[in-house]
Amino acid sequence: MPLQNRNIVVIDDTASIRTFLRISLQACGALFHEAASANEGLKVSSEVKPDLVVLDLGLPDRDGFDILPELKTKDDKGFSPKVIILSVRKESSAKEKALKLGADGYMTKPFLMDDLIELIDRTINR
Amino acid sequence: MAIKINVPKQRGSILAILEPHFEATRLLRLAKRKSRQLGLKWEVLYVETPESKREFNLREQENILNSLTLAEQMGAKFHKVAAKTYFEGVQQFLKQREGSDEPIRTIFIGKVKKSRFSINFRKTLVEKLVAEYAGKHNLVVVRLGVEVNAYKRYTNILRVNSREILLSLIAAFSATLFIEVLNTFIPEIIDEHNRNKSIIYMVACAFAAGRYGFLAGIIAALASYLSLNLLYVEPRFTVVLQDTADAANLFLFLAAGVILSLFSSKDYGDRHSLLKSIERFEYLLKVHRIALSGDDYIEVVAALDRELGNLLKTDIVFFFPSMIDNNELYTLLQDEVSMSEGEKEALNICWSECEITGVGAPINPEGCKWRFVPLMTSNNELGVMAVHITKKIELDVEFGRLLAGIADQVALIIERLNIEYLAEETRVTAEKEQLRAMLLSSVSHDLKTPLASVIGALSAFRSMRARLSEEQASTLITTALDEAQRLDSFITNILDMTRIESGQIELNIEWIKPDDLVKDCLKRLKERLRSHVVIYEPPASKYEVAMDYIMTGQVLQNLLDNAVKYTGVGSKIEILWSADKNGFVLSVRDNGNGIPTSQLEKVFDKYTRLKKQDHQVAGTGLGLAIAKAVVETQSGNIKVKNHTEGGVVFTISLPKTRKIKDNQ
Repeated sequence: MPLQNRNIVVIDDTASIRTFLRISLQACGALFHEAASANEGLKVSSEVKPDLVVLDLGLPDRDGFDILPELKTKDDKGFSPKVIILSVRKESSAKEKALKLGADGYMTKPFLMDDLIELIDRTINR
Repeated sequence: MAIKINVPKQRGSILAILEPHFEATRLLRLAKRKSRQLGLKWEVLYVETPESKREFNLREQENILNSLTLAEQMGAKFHKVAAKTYFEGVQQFLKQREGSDEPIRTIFIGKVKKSRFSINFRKTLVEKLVAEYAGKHNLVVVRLGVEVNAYKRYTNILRVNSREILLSLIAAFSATLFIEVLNTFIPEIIDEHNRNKSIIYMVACAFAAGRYGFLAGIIAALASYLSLNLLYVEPRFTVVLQDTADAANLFLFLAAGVILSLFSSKDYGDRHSLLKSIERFEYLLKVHRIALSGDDYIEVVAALDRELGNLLKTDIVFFFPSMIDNNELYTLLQDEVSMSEGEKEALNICWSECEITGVGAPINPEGCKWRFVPLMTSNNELGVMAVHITKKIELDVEFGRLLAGIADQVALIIERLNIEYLAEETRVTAEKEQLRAMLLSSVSHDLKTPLASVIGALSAFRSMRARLSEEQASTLITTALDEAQRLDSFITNILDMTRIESGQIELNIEWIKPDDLVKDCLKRLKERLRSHVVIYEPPASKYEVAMDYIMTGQVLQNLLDNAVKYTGVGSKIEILWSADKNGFVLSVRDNGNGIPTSQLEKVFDKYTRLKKQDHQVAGTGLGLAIAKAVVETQSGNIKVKNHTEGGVVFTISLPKTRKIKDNQ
């Protein structure tokens, strides 16, 4: 399975989205961790040191763009996770900003789970 | 080969001298023509003499104001000099300009044909000017056909205030009274030769002259003379004088009285005009203060109306262009202003040509009793100020300039108000636009998020079915279904709100048993309520309620939705209702954290959502706004408060109930 034993952290404030992402990613063999807010997300990410973070932009406490650079900051071992942005915004300006701030991928909502898995696979296994 | 000729630029100006006793239009036109010919500026000079303040009749006053208005319209610069006589004033002015770099090149004066009956020992102004200045300046004497009755000018008593005459007579009478009183009580003081009496009368004359002016002084002197003659000089009660010494004394008295009046009154004229100037200046200051104070259009115009009305002691009406048709003027405050056709025409000309019309102006229709002054700034034409000219108004040059000054200030005030109003409108529009943009993005986010769950969950189910456990598969389908229903709820809310706002809600009122409504709603929301404990015990009620079934059901659903959203899993939701002859009351109570008191009143506002800890609760923020609208349309009301034992209670009430018919 493509995502076998990969640590993935999902940061999204909508419970139902976390639900189907959990089921799907676990069915792909990934180790799933979740957070419902930006601060919680940063905490979980620094503890777990995931291979990939799926980050929703519309978080309640802090803007996704705000924590993106923090997530991508390399730790003392020179490691930082790949980050894929999830957002309802499809304007190219949003995509450009995300990439400039260090995102490794961008997916607009709504999306097909197949497509997201393919993107995650490509990004992690590059 | 072109030859350059250096033509030195002419410097200096043309001067036209305005006099009060002729109609100066022709003079002004000629002066202006000359100034244009020579490429020079032109100016007008008006000399204010002591007699000018009291002696002129209405017609002459209008003439001066007219000439002045016309001159300024034609682009002349106005100068005023105060002097004892006209000639002196001109001399003063010319002397001032002698050394300056804008010397007077040509002087235009008007010459009038002398009336056959005028007794004139003095040279006219023209003759004097010619004698003195013919060598130094160009003098142009313009023949004006208007005849002058010099006699009339000096003997025009009609302008005199009858009140002043009365008071001067009273002064003389008081002196007599005083004398008689002294005579009765202290006869030793009164001297036989009437020396003290003369002095007492002299005091009365001085008082009258100083207080009320020259004519009053003369009248007092005459009255005193007669009193002395009739009452105290032998033979009494006749005007005949026997003793030569007595006669001499009496005539000396009269002469002294006249001279005294002359000198006492000299200051009067100055003081009177000075007081008037001060009064007018104070009022202008007041107008200026109004300018800085008010923000409300109507308030400011009303204040101006009031203060200016007081200042000028007459009616003032402000006309502004209507927003629809710039050529139509309307009044802001008065409903009806009656004006004749001629006056209306003058008003329109004032507005369209931006010129002063009416009394004392070049364009003055027959019988017009108003002076129309345009309100304009360098950028804008803002309206017209109409001043009702009554007999009480002192129509002099000062008056014209006062009106012009006031009009300028008012125009600036109105312009400022207009700008502020526009700025506010722009700000409000910008705010609304911003709000709308925000809402649009917020709503689209709120609709797309549940849809993302539906599509994500179903696509996951489809592509990974083989790898999923029963439980996982079932969870995906349930999630998709839940979110689809949530989406339906959102969309319904948005549509309802749109319909309510455009007034399209049609209520279908029927007689409903409350228990049916509640049970139906609970059934519909069974899934959504599954993680909470719902407490509902229908009371034994024999009443039914007039309501729209679907809309009120929606209201209950919104209340329950909120309860679920804002409270934790497993907490209680309690539904209570009562229906009797007084009406129907239903309450939904949850056991959550309550709503902060500061937010309680905003709960029913559109698009406001409470933040639950770190999460922003999904939803359109319309649920309660819709609930409120629906309930209020049915003549009911909805309230919210924090329950004393924790949680929030929403209570709706509807008024119309009836006993359930037995056969139902």
